[in-house]
Amino acid sequence: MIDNLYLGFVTAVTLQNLTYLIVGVFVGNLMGVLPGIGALTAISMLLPITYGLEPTGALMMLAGIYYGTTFGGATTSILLNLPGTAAHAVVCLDGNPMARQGRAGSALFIAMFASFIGVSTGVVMMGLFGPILAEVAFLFGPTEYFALMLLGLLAASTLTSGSPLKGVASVLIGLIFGVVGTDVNSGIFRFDFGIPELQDGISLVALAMGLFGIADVLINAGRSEKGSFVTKSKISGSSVRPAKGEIKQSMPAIGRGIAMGPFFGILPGTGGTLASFMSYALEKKISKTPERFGKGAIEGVAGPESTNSSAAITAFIPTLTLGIPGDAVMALMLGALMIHNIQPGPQIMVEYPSLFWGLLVSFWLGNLLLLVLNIPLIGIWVKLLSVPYRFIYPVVLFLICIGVYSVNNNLFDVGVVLFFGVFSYLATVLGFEPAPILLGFILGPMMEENFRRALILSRGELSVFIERPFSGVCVAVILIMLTMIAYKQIVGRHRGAP
Amino acid sequence: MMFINKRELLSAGLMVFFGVGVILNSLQYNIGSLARMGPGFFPLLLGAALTFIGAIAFVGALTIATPFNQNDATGKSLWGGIYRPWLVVIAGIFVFMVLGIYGGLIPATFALIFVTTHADRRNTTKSAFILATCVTIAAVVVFYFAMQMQFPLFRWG
Repeated sequence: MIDNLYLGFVTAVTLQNLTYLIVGVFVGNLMGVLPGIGALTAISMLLPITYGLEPTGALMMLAGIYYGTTFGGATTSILLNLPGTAAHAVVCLDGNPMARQGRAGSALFIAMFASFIGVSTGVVMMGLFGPILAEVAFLFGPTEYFALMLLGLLAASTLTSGSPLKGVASVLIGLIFGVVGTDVNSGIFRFDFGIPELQDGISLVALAMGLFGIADVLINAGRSEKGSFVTKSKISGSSVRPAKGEIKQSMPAIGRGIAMGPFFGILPGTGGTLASFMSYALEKKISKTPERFGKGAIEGVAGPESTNSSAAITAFIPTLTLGIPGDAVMALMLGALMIHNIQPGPQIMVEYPSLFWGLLVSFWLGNLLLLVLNIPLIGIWVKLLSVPYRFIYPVVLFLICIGVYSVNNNLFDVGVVLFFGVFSYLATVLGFEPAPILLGFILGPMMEENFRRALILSRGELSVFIERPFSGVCVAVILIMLTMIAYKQIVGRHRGAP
Repeated sequence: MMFINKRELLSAGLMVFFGVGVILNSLQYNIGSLARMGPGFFPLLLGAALTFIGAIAFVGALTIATPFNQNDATGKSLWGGIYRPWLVVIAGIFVFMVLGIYGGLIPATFALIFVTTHADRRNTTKSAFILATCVTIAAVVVFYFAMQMQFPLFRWG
């Protein structure tokens, strides 16, 4: 353990990697506070830049962008009542009222502090459980992987979305997009419609940017500006300071947050969003004064923030050790790994120990950096918040176009982005979700490969998925989930509401 | 009076349409058997699953009639009067593609920003011009000179 941490520090604290980390964190933070740019848009927009770097540096930078945007999202939630990510919708509930009461400084500090504690816990969990999970994962064969992926996809698509039926459909659509390209077993081009550019498959960057970037612009552009400034008073570094007793008041909430966050992070399909909602519900339930919630209760900021951050970090555990991402952000991280020719799975721990441990240390360093960075920079962020979206979105569109072009120096991919942007917007209007589409797209080829191998090994006997104990458990959980969905649909029908 | 939710019906129809399309397409490839799957097997499975789910959703949308007209509640807020950003954004990216091939980085960037800025009614031609000029200059400096991107500033054909 000590050796590994030492390795991690040596990897993370090189001039090169530290620079990537700082750039990632800073750019992420900047993107996060710009209205209308979420973590997914930011990561997919900057993914092409990391292609040229070596894998550890690239992943550190992407992770930096991720928690940088998350941090920035907390800022916009509190000051503007605009959640950058779904996970932050909860922080708005009490953070924004606090800002309205002139306690913006307190809210910001507690959010940053809770988030830092959450990350630190997540890092410890990752160091402790990552190796254990990898050990277990080495015992898995294709049968187990297929069952686990199926479970993960089902959970991811049904737990967070509005309609479970459409969630599953979204995953299937993503899986189908993943089929496009060369079939590894036979070398046949599938679903390429005679277009040579599609023979290598749909570009991940083009798909992600279309699904999230372009669709975001289409949803937001031309609408009236949402949210408005609540604090008239100037916010500068010195005002990011908690009021007396507020740290003490929020400590128990942070404690409960870091206890439940890692649990949600490690489970497939349950990312920070569900975790932070659960935390908020819990804080409200056990509070002696639940009526304060929604009117600026500090626990309502501290609890969800710490839960969310610890879940965000622990979500890397299954992504890196099993190769199974829990949410769309993790799926993008996995995609980045694969672009660097690193096959995700337990062998990462053995073949690239410096990547795993370096990343682990960089999480902690990056968040420490954010904490330090945000205190002097908060004044600048606040100014940035007031840039109207109508000037931002054309620049976002340009960055998407040039970013996707840069991957292959090919304008065809720009067309792909446009196609998926329009597709994603229409799909969202009809109630489908873009995040499961991306998850399905990234897991699709791996799922097919494992499915094929499992059935070759069993000579075509489907019963192998039930007979092997671990995949049997997965199948049982899948069946329970499907039953619950069906039950809900039928009960919903009797009540006359879909 | 009961209403059938048109949005649900449309999305279910789309699932079936997409699913059947995938099934028909995968039949072009060798299907194989469970023990020896061909390239068409997995997509066929996916297409069938999507069609099945679409069918359930279709039946659901037809049988669950809502007591109030959801088409007004959900349909209008999503579609009403927002054709402008749609058309402008799509046109802008399309122009970027065309000018990227037949014009180069400078005209493509300028046109993209200039066109897409008009998606928001409050942006004037003047502000579009200023923004487009600024972004084009930044793009040339950052992407062409600093990052050495393979995208000529001007090109003909």
